[in-house]
Amino acid sequence: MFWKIPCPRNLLIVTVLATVVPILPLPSYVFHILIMLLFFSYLSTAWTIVSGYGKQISLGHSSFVGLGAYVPTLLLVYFGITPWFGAAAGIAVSLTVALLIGFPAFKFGLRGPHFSFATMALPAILESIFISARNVTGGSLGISIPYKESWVYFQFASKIPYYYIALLMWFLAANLAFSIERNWFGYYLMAIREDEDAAGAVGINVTRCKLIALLLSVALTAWGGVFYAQYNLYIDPATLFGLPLSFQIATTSTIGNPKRWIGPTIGALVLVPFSEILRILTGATFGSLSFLFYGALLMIVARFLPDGLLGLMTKRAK
Amino acid sequence: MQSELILQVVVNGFLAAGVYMLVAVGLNMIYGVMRVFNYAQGELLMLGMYAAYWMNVTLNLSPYVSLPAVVPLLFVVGLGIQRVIVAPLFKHRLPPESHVLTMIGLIFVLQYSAMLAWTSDYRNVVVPIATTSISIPPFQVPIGRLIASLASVSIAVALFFFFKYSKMGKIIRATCQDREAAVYMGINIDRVEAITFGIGAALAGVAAGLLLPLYYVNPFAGFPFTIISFIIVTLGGLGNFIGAIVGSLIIGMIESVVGFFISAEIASAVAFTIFVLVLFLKPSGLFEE
Repeated sequence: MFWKIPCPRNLLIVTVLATVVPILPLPSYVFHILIMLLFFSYLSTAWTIVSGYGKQISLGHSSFVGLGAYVPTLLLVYFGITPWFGAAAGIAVSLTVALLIGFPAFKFGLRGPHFSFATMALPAILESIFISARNVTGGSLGISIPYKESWVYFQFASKIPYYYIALLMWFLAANLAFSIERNWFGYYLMAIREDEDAAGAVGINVTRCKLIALLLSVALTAWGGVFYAQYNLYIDPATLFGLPLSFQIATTSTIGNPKRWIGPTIGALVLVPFSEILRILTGATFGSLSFLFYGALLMIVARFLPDGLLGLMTKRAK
Repeated sequence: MQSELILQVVVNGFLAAGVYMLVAVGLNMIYGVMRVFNYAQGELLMLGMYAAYWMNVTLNLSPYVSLPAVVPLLFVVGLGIQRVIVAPLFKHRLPPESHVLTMIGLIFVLQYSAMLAWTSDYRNVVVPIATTSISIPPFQVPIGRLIASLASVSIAVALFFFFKYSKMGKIIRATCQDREAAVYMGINIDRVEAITFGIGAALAGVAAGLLLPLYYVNPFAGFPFTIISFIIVTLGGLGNFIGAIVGSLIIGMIESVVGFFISAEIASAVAFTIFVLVLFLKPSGLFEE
């Protein structure tokens, strides 16, 4: 139902151009930056489906990145199951958790800040559970994924295959967001964003719409977690379930423009290269200082630019 | 023996509740008056702890002694944040999500500025009195926590009388009940809001001084307290005074009982789960406003 509309031409052009980038003799950290750029664009696009279009601001999307990373990894470590199957389990677990939170939340009218709170508590719960189950998960020290370089185990020696996978993920997510923005489902969500009660009054099943948006977003986010684990080969609860990741996803999308499919990508284009380059230049200690910049930018955008940087760009163009 | 142990766990629960209430009270007051979640309350606490820490390092003042300096300092910081960041949100009638995002931005800015200034090292101040326990058979009571709990009870009582009887307290309550009516009555709500925010921040300053002997401070030390305070305040009913006290007791007890019988990490998971359940079953909290 979401795929009737062909994908936007610009997206196709950018994607095709991006496929030839690996021909260039670029150093590997450039690919790392590009992969992170695509990865965060992907995650924030997924976030935008529920939190931008539907305005159900989730501050707990890191829960699903974490579950998507942990479930396949644990299956791989303990049962030798390939992450490709593990991914299905990870997504299923994430969807179950999202349903457990989302259904009562939407059914009983948990709105605005209350919804944000409930979602903010979720990664914190999961983080403490994963830390306390240290016999299985390695606790706060995290868990390393055994190195078995093979496509069967979703592990590659060079960054290029990861780059193509990330590119495909981003392309599909952006295309999905674009399609949603232009069909009945998106219109329903936007109606809910503008006025939930009015949307209900004209016959939109508000609870179901929000829930579908949440589940779509969560499924994509959980796959992002699978990818992250396989790319990084090391996962730990603080990074994956920590609030900074949730905030980063929300910030990236908001700074771009959470109401348009391309917004999150714009946000990531600004934020990711900056933070990765800062990390490379200053090392791990001050690498996270990019959050200072994130915070300041977020405050400026929230205060002055309701349509994010994208709004600023289109205003200029006019 | 077993029953004594359980009693001790209960006493610990009360003391934990006292510590949490210290932080939650300020947050609750700001919400009650301004309908703004001060997501950055924990960061104010963190700034206060650093202020007390540096006064200890440079001037050799015990955190208990430097309180009269830290509290006004935080009041001014709170006033500044309200003036520069929060007030424009109201003035330009920005939607609620802009408030949330602005406060999240503020958290980032405060945390990472602190990191830039003081690195992310864990720092603490050793106050011998605070870490010793007095023995009131059959209990052992850690003095630092006892002081914090007594302080939070006295603050709660003081705030109760302040809101009930003082003129400023009445003005604040009137603004809380109906902003527009308050304007018609000639109340300068800008000033009321600035003062409320300042008092809320000052309460974070009190908490900072009393918690520094008990906890390590680093740029991220405040945030867990923000989350716990939110849980407490939401459990009890946002803006509700009695609710915050009951909420702290619930969370303090859970932490102590579950922490003792199972594990400390599961204790926070249980607290969060109860919080989420209460949100679902009764989003307005246990006590209506």
